[in-house]
Amino acid sequence: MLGEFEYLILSAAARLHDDAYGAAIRHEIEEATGRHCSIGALYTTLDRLETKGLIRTWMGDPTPQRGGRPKRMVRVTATGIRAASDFYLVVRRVSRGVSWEANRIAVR
Amino acid sequence: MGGEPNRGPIMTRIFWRLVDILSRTLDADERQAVRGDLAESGDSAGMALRDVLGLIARRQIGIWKQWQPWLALLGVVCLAGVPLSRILFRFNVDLSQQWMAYQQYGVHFGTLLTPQRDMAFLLCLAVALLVWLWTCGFVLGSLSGRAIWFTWSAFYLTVLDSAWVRFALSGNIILCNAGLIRLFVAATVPLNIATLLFLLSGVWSITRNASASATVARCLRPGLGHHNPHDTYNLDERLV
Repeated sequence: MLGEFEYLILSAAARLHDDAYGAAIRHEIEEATGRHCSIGALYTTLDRLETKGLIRTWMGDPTPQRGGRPKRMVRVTATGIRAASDFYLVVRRVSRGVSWEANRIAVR
Repeated sequence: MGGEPNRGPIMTRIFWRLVDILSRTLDADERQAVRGDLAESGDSAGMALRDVLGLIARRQIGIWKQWQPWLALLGVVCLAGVPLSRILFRFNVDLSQQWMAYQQYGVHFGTLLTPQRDMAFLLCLAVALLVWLWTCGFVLGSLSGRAIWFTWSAFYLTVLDSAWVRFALSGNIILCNAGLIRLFVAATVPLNIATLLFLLSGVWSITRNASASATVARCLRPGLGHHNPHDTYNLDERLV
């Protein structure tokens, strides 16, 4: 079972697809949650996800925008997609009938 | 990189300099990626420093979750460090006695050995200590990984000071009117031939170990090299 932050990273990386790398994932998470995402949390979680086989990472090419430094590129593996999908289904299933889910539908 | 207007340019420069120095404790690839991310995101120097410190702390905690640094601490620092400290202490005393006798009276300090044999004994002891310290440093570097700064400091203090502490506690050495600062300096930077031996062998073994580890890591960690990501992705797709 994934952790909340792991799910956020997988979702952000999946959405960014070929443009998924450290800073971009961090930006996506901050936009979605409205909270600061620390580099320490991001990089240690990326390592953990890679160890679990849910993502692959590699060093990309350097860009001038980053002062000539390379990006740590991220790609969600098929196992990662399956894990994120399972997590999403569990969250939806467990949220059925709870007040905030009902309110959300009512607001919509 | 981003600036921090509230703290002024001097603080900003100091913070960025600290980010630069601290990030050197990270792996080369990770350092580049992190500093690139900081440059791109335009975070303030204070935020960048906090982020880098957070990452370093998490990496250090991660290291201590493994058994190797603990084995280094127990096996090398405690089990090897304490006896080495006694031998080093004896070596220091013997050498000092000989030196003082020669300097003050121009004679050989009276032991049961002849001057030539005494010199040969001290030379052999110095070589044996050098080899032992080198081996300990190498094993320490191999087991500790990035916790080497801590385990090596602990080994340094154990080897150079544990004999003194034991003698002081048993009452064989009386520290009369010794100031706290003087004691601290004497404990951390004792100026004697043993310290020189220790530093020489320690730095040599750790740098040897670092270059060997880097070569092994390059061979064992293809994930951090430049390779085609689609290869691994396709492999996973086939597994579905």
